Amino acid sequence: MQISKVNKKEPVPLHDQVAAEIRRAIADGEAAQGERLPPAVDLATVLGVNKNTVIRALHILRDEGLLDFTRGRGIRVVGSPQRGAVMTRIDELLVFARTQGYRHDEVVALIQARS
Amino acid sequence: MNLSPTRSNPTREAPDSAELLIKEARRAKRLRRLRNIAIVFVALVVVTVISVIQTMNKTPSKPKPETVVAKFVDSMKHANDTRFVATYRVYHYDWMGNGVITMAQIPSPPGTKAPTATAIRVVANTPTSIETLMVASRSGSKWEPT
Repeated sequence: MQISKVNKKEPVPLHDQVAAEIRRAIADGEAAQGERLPPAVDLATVLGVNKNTVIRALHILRDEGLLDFTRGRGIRVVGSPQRGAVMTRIDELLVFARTQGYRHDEVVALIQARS
Repeated sequence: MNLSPTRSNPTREAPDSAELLIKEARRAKRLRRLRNIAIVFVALVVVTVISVIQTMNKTPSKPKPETVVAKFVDSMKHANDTRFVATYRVYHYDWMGNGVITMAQIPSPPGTKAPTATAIRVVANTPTSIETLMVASRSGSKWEPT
């Protein structure tokens, strides 16, 4: 079966759309924390995209802290989508602060002073 | 930079069962494995059937006539003046039909001058092989298959 959630005509890159679909599926409880995700080839079959697109999306989700890749153990859900979103925003904040001349420890100090 | 709350909405609607991405992917995984197992199974069955057919159609290798005749002649040389009954099954010869050759040799009693009697019985369509076998024997008497 193919789920037509990915629109190839949209300006949003395909791997971002796929990452959003997987993120949404995890948020909906289709895969709990610690569960394994199906192989990328099967996700690609269902979504109707290339396997490499799914792999790229999975790497994005791993960078967000949502997934963990371990050789021989597959892809596991290790975080929540909320935590992944916060991690993404933290990364963006650190990049933005760096462009404004702030180092990481200074950003941490600013956050601690704020709270 | 705009930081907005990212908590999901608790009133979010449950997804349609037909749209469950991970569930469908797991189903696709099972189907893919079943298909692969079926392909391997069919391939094994085909290979097994082909090998069985080849084994059934395989003919036994032909013995080399020269080797067999040479052994026969050699055995006859050593069997001079001894009592023996030899049975040879012959098959797959181009120059001779399938069948059984039975040979018996009875040496003369000691003190007599009669030659050793040897008999050959051929149960087959062997128009040309009889002479060949007779040459191998050494009785000296007249040979006639019974």
